[in-house]
Amino acid sequence: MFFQRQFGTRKPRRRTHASTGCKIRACYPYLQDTVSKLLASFFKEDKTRLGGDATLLMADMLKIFVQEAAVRSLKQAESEDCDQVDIEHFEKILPQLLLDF
Amino acid sequence: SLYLRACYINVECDVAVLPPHHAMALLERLKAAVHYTVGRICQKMGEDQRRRFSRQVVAAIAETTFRQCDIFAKDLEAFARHAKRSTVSTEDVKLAARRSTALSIYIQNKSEELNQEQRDLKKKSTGKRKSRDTEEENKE
Repeated sequence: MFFQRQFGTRKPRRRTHASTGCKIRACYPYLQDTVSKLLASFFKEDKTRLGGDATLLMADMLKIFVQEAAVRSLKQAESEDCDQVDIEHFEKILPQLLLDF
Repeated sequence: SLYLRACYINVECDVAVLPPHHAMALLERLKAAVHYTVGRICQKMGEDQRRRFSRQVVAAIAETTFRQCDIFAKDLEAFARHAKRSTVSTEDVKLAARRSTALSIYIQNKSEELNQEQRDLKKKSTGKRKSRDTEEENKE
């Protein structure tokens, strides 16, 4: 019972790629679902809800966060002439990344 | 082990699909989903630059994203409550993105796009209704 309430069996309503023209929808059909669950699990109050468009925007924002982390790490590795992006490269860009978001 | 788990709880396979006897708390499964998606994004970006991301970096970015998500969620909730709402709206997301100018502009444009689509959809549906009404009038 609890499980059903938590996850539900109903399919989430999704807008198609054509109707939104949103790239993120086409690449990751379940991303919106995951993001809304992720944010909902962090809310302090149970009654807080997440609007549909707000979820889409947050999915976009989190994707940009990850891309930004990846690109900055890549740049750092490039400047040190390394073939593999290692943890030290990520460590160097992390403080500025967190300040920018 | 998180990586192995991430392989079968990916974003393509909905988080909701897995039965409970997989014995993972929701948070764990969400973490795995984030890890998987981060891995894919990193792989894609690495291929363009012909560089590999070490697994440690992917895990670190995933963990950072997860914690950033926590911060975002708490911020959004506080913004919504400040506006005396219980539903987080696009306005709250715009506020959450205020720290960086470029990001803020990007999010505002995206939000405007979504609004425009909503308006178009509404126009379409009311347009249909109107045409149906006139048809019925003609019949009468």
